[in-house]
Amino acid sequence: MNAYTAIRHGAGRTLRARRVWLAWYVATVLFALAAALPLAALLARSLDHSLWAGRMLANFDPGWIFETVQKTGGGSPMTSYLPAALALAGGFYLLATFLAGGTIAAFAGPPGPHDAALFWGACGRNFARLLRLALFSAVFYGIVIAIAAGLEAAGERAFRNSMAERPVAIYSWTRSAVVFLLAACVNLVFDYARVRLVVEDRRGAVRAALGSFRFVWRHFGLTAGAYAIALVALGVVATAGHVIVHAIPTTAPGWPLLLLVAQQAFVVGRIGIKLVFYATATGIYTALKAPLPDSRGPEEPEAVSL
Amino acid sequence: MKWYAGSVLAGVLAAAQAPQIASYDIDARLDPKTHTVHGHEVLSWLNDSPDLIPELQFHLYMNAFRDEKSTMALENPRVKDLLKERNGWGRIDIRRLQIQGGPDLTKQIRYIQPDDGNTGDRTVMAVTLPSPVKPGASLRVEIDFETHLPHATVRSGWHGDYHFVSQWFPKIGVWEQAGERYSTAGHWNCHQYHANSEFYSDFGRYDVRITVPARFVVGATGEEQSRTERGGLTSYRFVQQDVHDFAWTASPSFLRVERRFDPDREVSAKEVAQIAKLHGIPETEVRLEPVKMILLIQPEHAGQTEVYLRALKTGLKYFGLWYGKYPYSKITLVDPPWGGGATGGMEYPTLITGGTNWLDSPTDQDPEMVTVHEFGHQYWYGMVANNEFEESWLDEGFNTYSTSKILDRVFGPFQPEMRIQHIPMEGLLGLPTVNWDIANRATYVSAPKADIIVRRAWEYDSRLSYGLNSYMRPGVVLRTLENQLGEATMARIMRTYFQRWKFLHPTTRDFIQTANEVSGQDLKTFFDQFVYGSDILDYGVEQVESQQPDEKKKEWKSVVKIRRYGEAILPVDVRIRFADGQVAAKRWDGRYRWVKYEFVRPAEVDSVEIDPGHKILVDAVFANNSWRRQAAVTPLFKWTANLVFWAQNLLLALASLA
Repeated sequence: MNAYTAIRHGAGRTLRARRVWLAWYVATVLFALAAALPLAALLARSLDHSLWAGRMLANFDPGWIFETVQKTGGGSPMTSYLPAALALAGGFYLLATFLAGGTIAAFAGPPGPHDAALFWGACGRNFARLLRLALFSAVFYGIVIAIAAGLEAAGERAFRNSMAERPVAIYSWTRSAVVFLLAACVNLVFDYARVRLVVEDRRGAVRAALGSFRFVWRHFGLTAGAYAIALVALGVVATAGHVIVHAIPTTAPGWPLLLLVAQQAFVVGRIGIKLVFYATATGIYTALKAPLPDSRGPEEPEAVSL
Repeated sequence: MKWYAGSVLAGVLAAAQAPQIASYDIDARLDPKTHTVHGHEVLSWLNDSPDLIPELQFHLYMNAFRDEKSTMALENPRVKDLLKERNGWGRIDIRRLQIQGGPDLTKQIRYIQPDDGNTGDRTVMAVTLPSPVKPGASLRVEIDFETHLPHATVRSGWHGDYHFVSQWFPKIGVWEQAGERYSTAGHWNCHQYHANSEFYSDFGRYDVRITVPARFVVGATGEEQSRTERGGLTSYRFVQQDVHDFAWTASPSFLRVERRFDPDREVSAKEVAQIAKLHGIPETEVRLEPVKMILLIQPEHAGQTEVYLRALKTGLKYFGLWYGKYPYSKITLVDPPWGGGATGGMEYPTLITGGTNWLDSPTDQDPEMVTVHEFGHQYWYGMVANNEFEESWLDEGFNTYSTSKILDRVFGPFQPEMRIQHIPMEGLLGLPTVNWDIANRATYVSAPKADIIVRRAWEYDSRLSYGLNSYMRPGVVLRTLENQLGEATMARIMRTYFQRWKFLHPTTRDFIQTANEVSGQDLKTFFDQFVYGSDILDYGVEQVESQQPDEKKKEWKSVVKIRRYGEAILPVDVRIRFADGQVAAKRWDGRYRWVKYEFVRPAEVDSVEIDPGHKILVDAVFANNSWRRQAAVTPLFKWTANLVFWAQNLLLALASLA
């Protein structure tokens, strides 16, 4: 197995998991609607019968934002919106954690149509353990953030007397690349830890992470290669989406619908890549997992049963 | 009244050169290792008032960076923090002060704080004279001083081996006699150096010799007269008359580019003829003179040389054509290095600073905007020398108005700058393009009632309010005035004001007087509302109803109600469009709270628009200025789709951690 065949295999599994795909899409639509509708309502209240709306169609006037903020009492609309938006983001993270359990379980099972009850059952069964894993992963993301801050401070010290921007910019890009790679490594390890928790029906987040680290380390070319291919695919989809969305002429008949379709196609594509990666990682793990004598200690009794 | 200060005499003597009140001969030597300027100054000062003047007052601007107790540091803690972090404090020490042929007055020096009584501030120095200066008498004051430049934090300073030397020498204040500006009795106008203030000085002649290590490239106010090298040092001599300040820069890194502004190439005969016709003056009075342009640019910005020079030529052309010839023979444009940006975007007589980035975006009008703006200050500050401490809008606001017109005409709309990791992203992200009227108005409506425009610079509610009320809001107000009076009348007002008050110290009152006189209207109410007041103007469509009483008859009864929600008033046009394409145009004086228009027409009202010509930019709410029967479904659909799309992408980014 190489990274390419693993991805191909994952793509095949994803294409057959349309209901999983739908679950993720519906989740993003619902949460995005909840986040966007208050702002859309503000737009509608202000501009629903205004000629200004039509004039701003092609080119938005930033003056509207400021005058609306002023008219609605200074910063108050945003100060009340921001906590709600953060709560929504938190809620979506929990939902994504919930869905991840079912998604991995679906890809770990036999190919073919997935049983909805099994999917939701796996979502519930794995939620608590995946959440614990997410909390554990926060420590490592925190370390990456601390390294980023340290590198930034070091750059400021090193370039504080620089009279040219170019070396500062190059350092900044290098620093970002390093931080991105570190974050990607953490992300990769914890992706396989999630797979491991679900596939092996384990509950120990720390053990799963350590085991996953060993697994990724042993099969680094394959795991990192598949991760890189997924990232490249994401880049391609993002670029294509950006180009297509901006290429739709406002003179074309039914262009708002075209815009909506293009945007949502991009979102579906993005979810697809996420699922392909889950399927690929699950496939790689189940294909290559070897008995790890030191990694399977006695399990605690099942704590969460949904 | 000073002989040159009265408005009538000023008009007669418009072509006269500046009164030579404060002239300086200075010897300056830069020690780049310690960032210190060792200076010897001879000030020739004329008492052209009828007053006996018992003491002299000087600005010692560099003491704003002396310690944490200065008014500058107290008003802007960020300055204090930056200087502390870099240990980049600066100061000016007076070693000797003596009236030529008189006693040494060094021990008589005392520090005063006319604005805030903060005894920790040493930015104004007073010296009691052995005998008062008589009316019409001059005196020569010799001063030895040492200026320790701060790290580049506010306008002046050093970064690496770049030195921008401004507000660097002991500079005499302005004696204002009774009747001059707002004075009721003779007094010194010599304010402390505040976080939100610039400058005010009398005109004179500057003869300055600057000595630096030979490897340094130097740029300065005035024309270079000579250059001599000795012992690894180079001495330059710069001379300029009819200016009220002197700044210079030195760095071994500068690339020096010299070009000539050639009016025969840059300005067409047609443009000259149009301006001459507009103002009723001979074409010879409009034709511009050649100007030497010197650009001192950082090596990493060398690719932007032509961008800078094109902007400089644009400034020379339009300010020259619109207001009057640029009277000096040269202009130097300094491009600060990375890390020295705090010295960028500044204006001094015949020397300005720009500012750009290594990776420049062609769509954000940077450095074009800053170059045209700082050049514009040669007119609004340099020649028309208002008191920037007390009426900053007269230079910053006038210049925002002028610069915005020029940029919109020559460079067109721009994308607001957005940089991520030093990369300009505005094009990639497809940010909206705006013109300068839109950009200025957007800033104004963010805080339309924060302050009034005419206010002492350090007394605004906040630094943001100082900027908004000194720059963007005056730009919006003047543009609205232009739209009310017509472009030609406004052009005549601005040119007359410039010609009448160049090399003088005008006030807001003087501008209003000029505007009234040239327009033939009493504009008091306009200025009271929008310059001296903070009331907002907000007209809105309150109600539109169309009814067909008898369905068999093709006749609709319609009512359109317009309301004034704000306190400010301007006459306004209202356009009502009917479904059959007919249009009714109304003019409302806006005086009462509302007005109702009733129509009986063969069709219902299709749309209503207040100010359809978009003349009233001071209207704080545009959204309610119009109404249309059909809801704006398509725009709302598009924006909602976009909002949902952006939210989905943010959520999916978050989900990659789950």
